[in-house]
Amino acid sequence: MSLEVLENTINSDGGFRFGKPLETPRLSLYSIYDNRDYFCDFCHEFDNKRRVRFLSHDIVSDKSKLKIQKALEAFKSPVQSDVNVTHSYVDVTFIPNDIKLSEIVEAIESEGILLTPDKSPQKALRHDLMRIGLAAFSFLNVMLFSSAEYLAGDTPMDTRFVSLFHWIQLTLTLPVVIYSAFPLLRNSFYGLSSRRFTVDQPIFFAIAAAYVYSVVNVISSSGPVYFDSICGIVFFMSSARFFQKKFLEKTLRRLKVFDDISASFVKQSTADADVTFLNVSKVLAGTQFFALNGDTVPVNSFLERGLAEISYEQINGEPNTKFIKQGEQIKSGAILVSSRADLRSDEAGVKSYIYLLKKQTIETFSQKTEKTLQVEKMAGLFFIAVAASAVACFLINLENLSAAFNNSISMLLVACPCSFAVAIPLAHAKTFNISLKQGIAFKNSDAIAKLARVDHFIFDKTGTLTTGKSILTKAFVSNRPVNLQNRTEILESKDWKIVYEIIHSCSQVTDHHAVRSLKNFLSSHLAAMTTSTSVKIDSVKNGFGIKGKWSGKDFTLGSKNYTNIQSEVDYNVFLTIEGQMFAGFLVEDSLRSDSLSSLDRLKSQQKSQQKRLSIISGDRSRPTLKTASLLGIKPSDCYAEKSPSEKKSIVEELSTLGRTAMIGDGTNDALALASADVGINVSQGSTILAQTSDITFLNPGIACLPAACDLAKDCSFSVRTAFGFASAYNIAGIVLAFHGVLTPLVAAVSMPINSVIVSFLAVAFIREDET
Amino acid sequence: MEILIILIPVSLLLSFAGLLGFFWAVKDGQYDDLNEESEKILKHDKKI
Repeated sequence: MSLEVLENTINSDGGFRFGKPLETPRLSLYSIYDNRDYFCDFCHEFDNKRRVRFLSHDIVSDKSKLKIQKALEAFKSPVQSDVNVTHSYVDVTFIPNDIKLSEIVEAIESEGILLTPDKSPQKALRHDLMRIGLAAFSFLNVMLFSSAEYLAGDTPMDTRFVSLFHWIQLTLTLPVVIYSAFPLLRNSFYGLSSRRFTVDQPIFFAIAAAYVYSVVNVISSSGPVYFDSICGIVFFMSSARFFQKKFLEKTLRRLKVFDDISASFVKQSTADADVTFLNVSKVLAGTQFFALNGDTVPVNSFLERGLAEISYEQINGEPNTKFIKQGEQIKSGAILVSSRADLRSDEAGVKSYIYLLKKQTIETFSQKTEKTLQVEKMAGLFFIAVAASAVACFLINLENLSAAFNNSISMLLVACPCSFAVAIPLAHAKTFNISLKQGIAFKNSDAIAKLARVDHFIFDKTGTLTTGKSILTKAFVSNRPVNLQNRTEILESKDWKIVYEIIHSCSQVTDHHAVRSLKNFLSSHLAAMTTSTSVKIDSVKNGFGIKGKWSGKDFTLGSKNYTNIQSEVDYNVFLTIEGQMFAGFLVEDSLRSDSLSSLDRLKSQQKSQQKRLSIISGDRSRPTLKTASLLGIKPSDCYAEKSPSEKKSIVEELSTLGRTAMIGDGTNDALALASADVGINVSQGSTILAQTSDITFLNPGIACLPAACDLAKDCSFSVRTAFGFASAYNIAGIVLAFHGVLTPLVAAVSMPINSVIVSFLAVAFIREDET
Repeated sequence: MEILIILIPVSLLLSFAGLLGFFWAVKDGQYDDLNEESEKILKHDKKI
């Protein structure tokens, strides 16, 4: 298989599906396709069977899967359904001679799952453009003819021309109403048939009422006509929706970053030296596969043989490469820098870090959040109120039929609640877009709103604030403190040579982090020294220490208790020779370079709001307090030596005092993350954390936290501002329209302008962090 | 004023021709991917 074919396969299969169609065709449309003579671009026919893919907002959980299965079980002829919860679609395969497509749709929709056929997006784009083009053409021409009438002012125009111009306007507006406004009609109709109030209904009713009224006036050659308003509103609406779609597409393109990280296939060798490709979702623990230079390793895997050089640059942005020996693990998302590596997966593909992260990000965009649903409901209630006011307005002015029509149509046009429904998705889309660029993946829109309101940040210590790697920070040898920066002193010291020989031998029998960090330090300083064979290890007690002989003398390396040292509280690893203290070391975790600056930025952001910062750690209290003091966190806000369940109860307790955000990187933080109001995962590979957190930072440490908080606040502010403006505009508009001040033309033009302003406000305050 | 009887249909026809031209361009796929042309040079040539 050529590389090109492979690339195409991956792109076509691994591509995102944006499961959020703006228009929802329903049952009646499908009955057309029961007749197989009609072409339908979303049906695939094979072996006397037919397969149709439907997208749906409602396919979000296994429950919907069961509902679909239950709906299809009722048919005598077998109907196979393949539900994909991640991408929110269902593939239905059936025999068209036995069963009708509309029956299947009816059965599934009766379970409350509304379906949309998976049409080609290209075709939809072309229709959108042609709708806008037609509306623009008609709008300009109709304006030309209507402006002649407006400009005539008090001088009456020749009635023949007036009549002719009206008829021309009527003809030009007809295709706009039929073709350009068709999505509005369809959405209103589907909304009504499913007893939902949508934002399209008031707009469509206003257009329909204005058109019918104008046509009647043209035929009867009396009264005003509103063709210019109709064309204008359709043109502005279609354009606004088109740009909204385009903006969301742009966000989607940013999301493709995840597609690049997550190779959708792994390569397997076959007996005849050919290559087969296995979808990551089908990879099981223990599956053997291989990667070539430049390939992404999609699942945690072990290197089967040889040596491999990898880079985690895609995951953590670090350009360094790392050598992996046979039997060692390569984490999901690594890129192979060296030549071919044979690998064996350590986990099922569907459980891999990258796969889950990708799934979450798709969910973020495909699920409507609680808040958005609330807003839609509000918009619906708003419409009922507006429709009632319009009817009331009509009835009050009934004596003057023309004024009654004018005022009620203006009211319907001006009070369109679309700005409400546009503001939230736009603000969230922009936030997702920027946050992904900065390495912040919000699991859903709620996470943005919640982060903006957090009062208390709780940090895990090891791995989150610190590097999670022990290093030698302080030492003494032969009762003399050592300057660890002075390489010459260490190189020339005979005592250090003894230490080196003992540590080197010990490192071969234990993998304890203290010994490993001592060995790393010594190897970097004393690489020139040769190892000695004068060391003999007698006993190793895991977690305590090692006993042995050096040049015939007994030595003990280990903790204070193990080595029977009485004093020296500043050190935690000791070496005694013949019972006498020879050397002491302080091996500890070091702060991440960005922790201090990130917390400083966080504090400076929130001076006025007095946010609390805490540390919860499983580590001992001394290093925890030390970290806290380095970062300026109060000792009373430090919780040390806590087990995962203790961490959880502390977070729960703190959550009763205010909104909390827990930031952690280890699997031991998963419970705490899930119980906090906002869980932030800074791990680079924990699948459990990826599942239980609301936000994932794609770079190690908390460097992204201030930017994430900024973004969340900007987003909330923008939504509030847009809401405020839209509310003020609508109330003012309704009052003016009620009193007949607002003409339908002004209403028609100002309504889309309002939408544009609200859209602008919704995104204007969300800025990319320059720092 | 009689000239309008000619001018109006002519202007409508001209703009209608413009609209048809736009429809043709859309159906021809010229608006399908506005980024494609700028990125084309960076992509591999397709095998025949």
